[in-house]
Amino acid sequence: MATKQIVTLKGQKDGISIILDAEADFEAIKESLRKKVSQGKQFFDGADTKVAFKGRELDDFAEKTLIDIITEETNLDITFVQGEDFVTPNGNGNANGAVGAGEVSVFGEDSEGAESPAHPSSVPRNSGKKESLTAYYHGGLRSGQSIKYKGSVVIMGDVNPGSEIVADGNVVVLGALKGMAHAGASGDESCFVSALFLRPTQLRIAGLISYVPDTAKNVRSAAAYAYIKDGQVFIGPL
Amino acid sequence: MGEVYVITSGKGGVGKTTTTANLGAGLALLEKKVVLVDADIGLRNLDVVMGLENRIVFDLIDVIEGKCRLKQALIKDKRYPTLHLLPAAQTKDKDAVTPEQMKKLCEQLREEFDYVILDCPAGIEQGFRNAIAGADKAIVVTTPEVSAVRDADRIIGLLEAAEVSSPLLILNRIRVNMVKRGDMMALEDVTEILAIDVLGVVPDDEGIVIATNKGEPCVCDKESFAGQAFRDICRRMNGETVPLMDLDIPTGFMAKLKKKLFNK
Repeated sequence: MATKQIVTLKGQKDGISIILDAEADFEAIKESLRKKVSQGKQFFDGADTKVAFKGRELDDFAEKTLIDIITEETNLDITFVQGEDFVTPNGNGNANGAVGAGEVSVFGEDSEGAESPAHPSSVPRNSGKKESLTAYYHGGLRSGQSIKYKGSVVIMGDVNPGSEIVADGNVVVLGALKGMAHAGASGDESCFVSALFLRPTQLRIAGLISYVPDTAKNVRSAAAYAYIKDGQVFIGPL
Repeated sequence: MGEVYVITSGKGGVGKTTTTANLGAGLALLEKKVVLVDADIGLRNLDVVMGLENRIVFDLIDVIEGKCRLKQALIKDKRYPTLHLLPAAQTKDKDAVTPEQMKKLCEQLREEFDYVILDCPAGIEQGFRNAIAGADKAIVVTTPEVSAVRDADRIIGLLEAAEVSSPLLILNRIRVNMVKRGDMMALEDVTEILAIDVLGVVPDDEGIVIATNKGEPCVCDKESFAGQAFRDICRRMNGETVPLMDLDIPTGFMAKLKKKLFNK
């Protein structure tokens, strides 16, 4: 048995770093990780919930497998997983730069992701794709407030007329959407906008702009989502 | 070359935005090319009053920052083909613009339009200075209340200091029956204090509230007395001589109507 450590755990100020051997067999890594975490339960107690994997490239499945091992062995609830490629803060002019002066910061002080703007590439657990960042904003948006984010945005509250959400990903409003929402702002036409009460002043997806015509009477105002099909914006029930 | 008007008042809530919308629509009815500019950055309302809020893609700040061309930001009114709106940004504040930039913008607009009408924000700070920077003429809106007249007086002083030539007065929301009882200032009382030329007197009209909430200027409503007053004002701006409308009859009729309806 080689003395070389294939899995090393390191406590960081803001979470846990797990350094993986680049060469070792993935099964061996899994075993080693399981052993490490079960031995080091104390180490995980009271530790923060941000986990970063280093030293080895992981695909989504592998990453999920490793996270499952950690959650099985400990009662740790992992909120954020940081990818190797993204360790540099402010890299690629990400979310950090996107939230400018006078705009509502995408993360409330008490929200789980409070530290995330410094690590714009933190990926929420169980996210489908590595690059699907999501910002959660707890609270409503009032006229004049705006959220801009290089990923998807989830708003827990009402979005009033005169406010705007601009997201490169999807926009989900757990409340009434009466302001302006722009999904897929960087051009992704597969993005959608959904809300529990969908009555936006204006709706934009990728390069398309739509608004409710003034003559419309029976506008769906229940939970609905808007998406692009054949170069047009459609609204469907949730 | 068009004329650049600024609609200002000092005090808030006296009807600047409503006046702007109605003058715009009224001048468009006279087949003039008109552009309304919302200079109230951060608290934009003109688009809502005009019922054009959902058409906004680019705004004044985008034009000034060069993010789009001026033409792209102009919203064509759905009812009057010669009426256009340049909306304000809602997510910025007054400091996002300088008076010089506004001046440049007004110069560009006046090349294209017969009338450029700026809706000035309340107050005498940056927003006011921006709005008056590019204007050659000012219209001061006031209501017959001591506080509004006081603020209008201050504004007239500032306009004169800024060399915006002889401002014109619109006395808004007058109620003739109250004036008769001596409970409200009459036009004469107001002009005595302000000492400027009167462009028009607009009666208090419930129709205004309804029209504003619907996003339709009441100037096109033939039944509305306020609409009539605004139409007259537009004709005066256009160089016609139109006598001030006799407010006694309409308000008398309105009073009668109210009496009938509310049994007072």
